Amino acid sequence: MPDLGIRIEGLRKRYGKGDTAVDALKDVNMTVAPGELVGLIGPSGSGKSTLLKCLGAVIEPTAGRMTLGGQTHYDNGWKINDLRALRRDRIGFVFQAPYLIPFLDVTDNVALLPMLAGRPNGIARARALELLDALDVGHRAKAQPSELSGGEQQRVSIARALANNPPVILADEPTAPLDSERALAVMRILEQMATQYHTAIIVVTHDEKIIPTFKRIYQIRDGQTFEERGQGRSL
Amino acid sequence: MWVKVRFDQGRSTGLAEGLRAGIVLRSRPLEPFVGRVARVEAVSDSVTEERFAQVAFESLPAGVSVGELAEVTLSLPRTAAALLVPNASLKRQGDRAGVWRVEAGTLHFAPLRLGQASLDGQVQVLDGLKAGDTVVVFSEKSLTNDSRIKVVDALAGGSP
Amino acid sequence: MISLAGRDILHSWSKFVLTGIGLGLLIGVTLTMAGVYRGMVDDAHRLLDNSGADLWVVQQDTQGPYAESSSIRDDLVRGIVGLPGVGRAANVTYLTMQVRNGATDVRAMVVGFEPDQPGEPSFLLAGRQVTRGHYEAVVDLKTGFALGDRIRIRRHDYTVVGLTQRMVSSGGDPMVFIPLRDAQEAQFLKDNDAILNERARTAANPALNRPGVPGLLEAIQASQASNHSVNAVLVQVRPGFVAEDVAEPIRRWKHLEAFTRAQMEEILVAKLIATSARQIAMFLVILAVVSAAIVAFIIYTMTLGKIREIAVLKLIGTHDRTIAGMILQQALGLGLIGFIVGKVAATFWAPVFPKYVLLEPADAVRGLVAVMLICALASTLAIRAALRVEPAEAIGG
Repeated sequence: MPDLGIRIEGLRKRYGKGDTAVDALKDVNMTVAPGELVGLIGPSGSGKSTLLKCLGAVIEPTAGRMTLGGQTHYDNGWKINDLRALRRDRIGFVFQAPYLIPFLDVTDNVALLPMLAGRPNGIARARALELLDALDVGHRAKAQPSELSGGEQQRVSIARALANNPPVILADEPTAPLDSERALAVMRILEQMATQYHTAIIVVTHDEKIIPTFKRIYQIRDGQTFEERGQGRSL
Repeated sequence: MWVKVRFDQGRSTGLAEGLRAGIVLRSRPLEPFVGRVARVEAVSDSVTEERFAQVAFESLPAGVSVGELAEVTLSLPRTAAALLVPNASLKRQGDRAGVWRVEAGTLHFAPLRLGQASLDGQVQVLDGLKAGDTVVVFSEKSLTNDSRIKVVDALAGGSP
Repeated sequence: MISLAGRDILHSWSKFVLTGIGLGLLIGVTLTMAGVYRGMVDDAHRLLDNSGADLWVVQQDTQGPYAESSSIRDDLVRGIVGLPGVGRAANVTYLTMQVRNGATDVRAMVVGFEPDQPGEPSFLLAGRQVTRGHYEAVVDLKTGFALGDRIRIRRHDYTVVGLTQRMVSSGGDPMVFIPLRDAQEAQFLKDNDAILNERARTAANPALNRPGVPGLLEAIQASQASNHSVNAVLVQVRPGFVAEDVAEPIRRWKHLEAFTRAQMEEILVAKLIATSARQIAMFLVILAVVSAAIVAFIIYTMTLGKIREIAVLKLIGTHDRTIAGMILQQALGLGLIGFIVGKVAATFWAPVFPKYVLLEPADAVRGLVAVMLICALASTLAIRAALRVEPAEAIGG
C-alpha cells in the first residue's frame, strides 16, 4: 500500500545554466498514500506551479525520482516514453476553472478520457454516468456545459479527473473562485472521492478557508518542501 | 407597264407564260395586286443564276413609277394529290435526301424521291414513304442513327 | 471515440453554415467561370458541326471565315464543285449585325445560305425551312423572336418562318439564316448616301463618263452597285475521300485557303478562345486564393478561440494528431458545405447567365478535389498554432 499513491524524492528543477541558473525546486520530498488528501501550500514564487507541472509530467525535472502507483516514471530522466498516456491514464487534473469542452455534453466531457484510452463508447459513457451520479450531477448528464451552474461544472470536472481511475489527482486551486460554503463543499467531495476510489489527492492552494481542513500539509518555500501536521478540521 | 421579275434558276421550275401572279409594291405593302406572266425572257443571267420574266398588271394602278421595287409571287397549277412531308423534316445523309423515321422507338433514315415543294413548306413525296409512317419533324439537335429520342408534344419555341 | 470535429461543427453550426454559404457562392462563381469556358468551346464545336461542312474554303492567307474576315468571289464555287472528292459545295456569308424586331435590337450573326446546301439550318424546333427566294428567315431561339415576327435586316423586312436552337457564332451570338442573295446585299451593299456619293464621283470622272460612249456610265454604276462576294464556300466531301486530300488541290491551284475540320477547330479553340481562356484561368486562380484565405482565416480564428480547450485536451492526454485531425476535419467540412452550396447555386443560375454555361460532371469532381486540397492547405496555419500550444498553459500561474 505505501508503494502506491505518489512518492517524490529529491526533486530538483533548474532553469538556465552556469552563473545565471535558478533552482525553482531545490529538494522536494513528498509522499501521499492512496485515499489520502494532502494540501500543498506556499506563496507565489515559491515553486508551487513548477512542482505541479513536474508532478503532472508536463515539464521535465532536472534531477530526482518520481514514483506513481508503484511505477517509477522519472529517475534523473524519464523512464517511460509516452508521457501523454501517463497523464491520460494515471493522473487526474482538476483546474482552477472547470475548463469543460464546450462542444461536448456533460457525459461526453467525462467519457472523453476513457474513449481516448481506447474504451468502447458505451463503456466509457457508462463509467461517466456512474461518476456523475456519485457526484450528484447525474441528472445533468445530457446538458451542455454552458447550461450548468459553476458548482455543477466543477463537479463535472472532478468526475472527468476520476474517469480513468488514476492513482493520483492534482487539484490546482480548485476553490479559489468559490465562497466558503461552496469551497467546503468541494473539499468534502474531494475527500469522499479519495476514500471511495482510493485515489491520492494533492490540492495546491493558498485559500485560507480550506487550509484548516487538511490533516497533512506540505509547505513549500524557496523550492523546498516541509511536511506539517494540519489542523484536520472536519468538513 | 410591266414588272421585270428575277427568279432564282434553281427554283424556277414551271415558269411559263400565262401563270397567275400576285404583285406587292414596296410603296404599298398592304395592297396586293393581280397580274399574269406576259413573257418569259430567253436570256438568263449566268452570274447571278437568275431567269427573267415580265409580269403584267391585270389593271395598272395609278401612281406607279418606273424603277419601283415589287415582290411577285407566281401560282403554279395544281398538282395531283400526293403524300406530303413538312420541309423541316427533310435531312441529308451523304448525297441522299430523306427523312428520319421512327419505328418501334428507333431511328432509321429513309431516302426519298421528292417532287414539288409549296410555299408553305410542304413537299411532295414520290417514293420512299407509306401513309401512316411516323416521321421526325422537329428535334432539339441533329440526329444520327444512335441518337436517343423522346417523343414530346411540343418543343420550346412554339407550337409546331 | 467520438468525432471532436463533428461535435464542434454541430455546436457552432450557424457560424459554419454562414461561412459555408459565403464560401459556396465564391465556389459557385468559380464553377460558373469554368462552365463559361466549356460553353465557349462547345459553341465553337457546334458552330463547326452545324455548318455541315468538311472543308471551309476562304480567302487566301486569312483564317476566316469566323476568326478573321474573308472575302471571295461568289462564282468560285463552281470551280470547286467540279473537283474530285467534292460532294456538295455552296457559298455562305456571315456577318454579325444588329437585327431589329419592333422596338428591340438583337445582336445576331446573319448567315446567308443556299437552300439544301451546306450552311442551311440543320434541324428545326418549329415552323419550316425557307421556301421563298427572298425575305424569309429561320432564327435561333436565343434571338427572342417568334414565328411570324417581321424582323428588319438592313434595308428589308423578313418574316420568321422557322425556329432552331444552339445555332450560335463563336462569340455566342444567335444566328439568323436568310437567303444568300439577301445576305450578300445586306453585307456588301452600302447605304443610300454612300451609293449616291459613289455615283456622283463616277459621274465626275471624265474617264468613266464619256459622252461618246453611251451607256458606259450606267454600266459602271450598275457594276459598282452589284455584290458578288461571299465570305466562304462550305464543302462536303464525298464518302471515301479524305478532307485533307480534297483541300490540297484547292490551296495549290485555286489561290484560296482551305481548312479541314481539325484545322478550323484549332483556329477557333486555340486562337479565338485563347485570350478568354487566359482571362478565365486568371480568375480561377484569384478565386482559389481568396477561397483559401477565407477558409484559413475562419479555421484559424475558430482554433484561436479554443486555445484554452486545446491546452486542456493536451494536458489530460489527447494526442497532437487527434487535435490536428479535428482541425483538418473542420476545414474539410467547411469546404464540403461550401462546395455543395456552390454547385447548387451554379446549377441554378447557369441558365440565366448571359453567356452559355456548360457544367460538366467531370469539372464538378475536379472542383471538389481542388476545394478539399485548398481547405487542407488552409488548415495548416491553424494546425501549426494548435501544435505550438503547451499543455502546461492549462495549469495557470
